[in-house]
Amino acid sequence: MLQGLFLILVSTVLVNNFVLSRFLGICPFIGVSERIETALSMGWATTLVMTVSAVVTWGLEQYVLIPFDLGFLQYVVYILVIATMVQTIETILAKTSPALHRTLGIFLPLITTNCAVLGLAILVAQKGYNVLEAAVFATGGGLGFTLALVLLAGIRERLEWADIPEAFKGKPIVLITAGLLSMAFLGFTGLVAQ
Amino acid sequence: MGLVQEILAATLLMGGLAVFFGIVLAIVERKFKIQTDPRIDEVEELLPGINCGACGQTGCRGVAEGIVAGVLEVNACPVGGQATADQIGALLGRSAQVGPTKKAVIRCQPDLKEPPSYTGIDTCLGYQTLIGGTLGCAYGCVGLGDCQAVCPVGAIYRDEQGLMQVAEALCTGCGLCVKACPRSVIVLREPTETWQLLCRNPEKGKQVLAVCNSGCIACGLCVKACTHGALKMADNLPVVDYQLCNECGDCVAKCPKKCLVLKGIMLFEQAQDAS
Repeated sequence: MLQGLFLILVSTVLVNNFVLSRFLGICPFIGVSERIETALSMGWATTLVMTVSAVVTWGLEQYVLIPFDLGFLQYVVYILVIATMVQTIETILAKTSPALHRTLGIFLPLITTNCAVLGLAILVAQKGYNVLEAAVFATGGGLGFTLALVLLAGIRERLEWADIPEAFKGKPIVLITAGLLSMAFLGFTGLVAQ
Repeated sequence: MGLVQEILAATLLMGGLAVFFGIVLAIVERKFKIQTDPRIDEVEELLPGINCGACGQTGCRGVAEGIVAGVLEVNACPVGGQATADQIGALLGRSAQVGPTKKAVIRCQPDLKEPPSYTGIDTCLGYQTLIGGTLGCAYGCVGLGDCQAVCPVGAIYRDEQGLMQVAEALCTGCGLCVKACPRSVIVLREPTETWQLLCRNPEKGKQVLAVCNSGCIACGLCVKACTHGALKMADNLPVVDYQLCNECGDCVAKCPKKCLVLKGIMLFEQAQDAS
């Protein structure tokens, strides 16, 4: 049991990293990776939303969508759930932990449109996880997302000092760097068989 | 399940979920409602909104919160100046006099004997990090314009001779250029501090003369010329006592290297030159 959960965690953080292997959540990956600090904030916010929304969507899938044979509504329902979760978390955080709320700032509402969150919820349904596995899978996905963001942010901070050819300045060099990072993560393939 | 039932079920589910989430959100919103002072938003509106950080707060929002909470005076924003302070004061029913803003002064106008042949990273910080003080003058303006790049109001420009200058009318005294300059050439001066020495080189006259045509050679003529005892030499550079200086300009007239100025005051000879 524990071993299975650990395997899921390692698998989602490293082997099947949401950003670098499944290519989900590329928009924030490029958009919010200029500074390590902001990348971390975005990462934590996403991890939080992923975990909560994965558990809620799991419940909806198991107790509403499947029994009533409404699987075709999956996407719409999930998007509704995610948007509501983000708004709820933001409201609660603003009251209970203003410091954290200030750190996450604008990134929290932005997560509503992060495809990694929706992708994760759908993957949970496809893989037929139980609720505990779904939560671990979501946490791992969030941590993997954070890892990818921080790695790229670290490289981008260093790139600012590099003598980049004119044509590659700005986004092009970031995309190339992201590609190299993704190739580096290919090295984890086969670490976990799934 | 027929088509009609399917449509009905979908509508019911989505409608139900929407209503349910709506209620949840409403409850959460009510339960975790934060009472924010509406005046904070109004004060924030009045501030410049450039989030420069010159006040030492976390941006204009932070200043607005501080002012409304009474921690900060209404003149806490050095960039907005008296106009902003008056508006905020009128809004909150408080008042505070704000002093005239400080102005940045670039204390070097280099005329190097041999301009350094540098082709590295095109910023002052890059220059200072890579080659430090090994070329030309180790104390003066590098001239690659980090201050110009960081200035939020465009008050720093490069003149025809390629020297960095401050347009004092535009300068808001935020001090970002002071932080940006890797050689601490730039300082903020109070409006009363008109006497400025445009050289930072503390070496002996001979060494300065070897690298720069406009550097202070520690000749001491300014100290001798001063009839008010406001100047004295320290570390091969004259220093002023603003309490004693009456801005007569005798020292400026005597300086052989023309590196002494009275900022904001046009001297008799200069006025003649200009006309």
